[in-house]
Amino acid sequence: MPDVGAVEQKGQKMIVELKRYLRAPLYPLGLAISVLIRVVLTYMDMKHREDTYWEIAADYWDTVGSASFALIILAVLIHQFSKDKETGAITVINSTRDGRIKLYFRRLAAGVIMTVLTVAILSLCNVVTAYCFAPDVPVPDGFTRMFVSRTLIALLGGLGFFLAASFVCDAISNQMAAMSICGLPFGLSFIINVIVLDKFEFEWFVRYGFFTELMRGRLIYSQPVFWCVWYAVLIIGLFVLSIYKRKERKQL
Amino acid sequence: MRHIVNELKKHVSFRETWVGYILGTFYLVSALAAYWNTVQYAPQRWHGMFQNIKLYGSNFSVFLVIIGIARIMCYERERNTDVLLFTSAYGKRKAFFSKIGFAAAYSAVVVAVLGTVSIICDGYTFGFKNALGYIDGASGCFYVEEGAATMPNLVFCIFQYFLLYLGVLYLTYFVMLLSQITKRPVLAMCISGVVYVVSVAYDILGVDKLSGIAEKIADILWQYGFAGFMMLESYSWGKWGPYYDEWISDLWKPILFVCCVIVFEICLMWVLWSRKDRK
Repeated sequence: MPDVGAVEQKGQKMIVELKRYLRAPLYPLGLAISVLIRVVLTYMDMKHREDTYWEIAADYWDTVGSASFALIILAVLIHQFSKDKETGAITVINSTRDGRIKLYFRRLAAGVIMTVLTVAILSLCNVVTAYCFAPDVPVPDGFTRMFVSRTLIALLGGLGFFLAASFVCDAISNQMAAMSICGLPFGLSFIINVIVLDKFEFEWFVRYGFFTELMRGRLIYSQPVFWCVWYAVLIIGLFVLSIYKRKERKQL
Repeated sequence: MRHIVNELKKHVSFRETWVGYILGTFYLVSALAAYWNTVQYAPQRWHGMFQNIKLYGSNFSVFLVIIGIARIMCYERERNTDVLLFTSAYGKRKAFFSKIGFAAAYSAVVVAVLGTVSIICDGYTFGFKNALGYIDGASGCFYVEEGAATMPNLVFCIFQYFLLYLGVLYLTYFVMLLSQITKRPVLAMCISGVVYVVSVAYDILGVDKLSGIAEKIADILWQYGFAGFMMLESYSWGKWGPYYDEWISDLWKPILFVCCVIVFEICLMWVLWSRKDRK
C-alpha cells in the first residue's frame, strides 16, 4: 500500500516548483508578447493573404512559434537551475535533506510540465487568434491533423531543447552562458539554406543538430535514424556532464 | 584608467564572457571560411570585402556586445554592493564613467579585431592587389555611383569599420540602458537580441510583406535603429540604391544623428544611475 502522506508531500513540493515558474514575471510576459506578435501578423494575413490564411496559421511553429517557445525556455524555464547560485542560497539548499539530487529531478519534472503547458497555451492562442480574425474564411480539410501533428513535433523538439539547455545551465550554473551556448546553434539553424546542404558537412549538423527543425514542427527526413541516435547521445551526454559537475560541487 | 581596468577585471570574471569569446571566435572563423572563396578576381574581391560587415561582421559584433555588456550596469545591484559604492565621495560618478569608458573601449576592441582579421584574411588571398587604387564602380560597390571614385579601396574598407563602430556604440549604450532599467541582464540580452533579429529579418525578408502605416513604421525603426547603422544601411540617408553621388557630402547627417543618440543614451543612463531608490 503506497504511503499516501508521502505521495501527498511530494505532490505539494512539485506544486511549489510549478508555482515558482508561474510566478516568474517573465513567463506571462513572454507569452503575452508572443501572442501579441501573432495577433499583429494574423491581422496582416487577413488583410493581404486571405487565400492562404489557414495554411499560414498551420505553419505557426515555423518562425514565430518556435522562436518565442525557445525564448521562453531559455529566459524563464532554465533559470531555476542557476537561480540558487545567483541568490546565494545554494549552500543553505544543499544542506537540506532533499536539496540536492531530489530537488534537481523535481525541477526537471516541473520544467517538462511547464514546457508542455507552454506549447498548449501557444497553440491554443494561435488557433483562437486565427479563428477570431477570420471566422468566415473556411477551414480547409486536413488543417486540424496538420496543425496537431506539427504541434506534437514542436513539443517533442521543445522537450529535448529544454532538457539540453537545463543540463547545460545546471552544469555551468550560469543562465546567460547557457542561453548563448544553446541559443546560438538554435538561431543559426534558421539562416542555413537546406537546398545547398550536403550530408555530414558542418552546416548540415548546424541545421539539424540542435532541435530547431523539430521545434519548427518539421520531421527530419535527411538520415532520420542518425538524428534519433544523435539527439539521444546529445541529451544523455549533457545529462552525464551535469551529474559530473554536480559531483564535483558535492551536490549529488 | 585604473577604474576602467577594474571594470575589465569584473568583465573577465563573468563566465558568460568567456563563453561569448569562444562562440564568437568560432562564428568568425566559420564565416571567414565560408565567404573566403566567393569571388574569383581582384576587382570584385574588394567588393566582396565591402560586404563583410553586412554578411557576418554585424552579427559578430552584436553577439559579443550583448554578451559582454549586459551585466555591466546591474552587477553591483545584483551583488548588493551598490549601496556601499554610493556612500563614497566620488563613487557614483567614477563608477559610472568608468563603465561608460570601458564599454566604449570594449566596443572598439571588438570592431578592431573584426576589422583586422577580416581585412587581413581576405586581402591575403589576393595580395591586397589594387589596395590604393580607387573604388572600381563597375564592381557595384555600395554608396558610390558607377564610375565615380571617392577614395581608395583599403581606405574605404577601414572607413566602413569606423561607421560600424558608431553603430556598435549605439547598441552598447542601448544594452546598458536596458540592463539599468530592467535590472536583469537576461532581460536586456533578450530584448536587444530580439530587436536586432527582427530588424534584420525585416530588411532581408519583410520589406515586401508590409504596407501602409506598418511599412512606414518599420522603415523608420530600421533607418534610425542601431541595426540599420550596424548594417551600414542607415548611413545612406535620404536615398536608397547605389546610384547617388552625394553620399559623402550627406554623410555628416547620419553620423551626427548617431552621435546625438549616443550622448542621449549616456545622459539617460546618468539620470537613472544617480537617482535615489524609492523606500
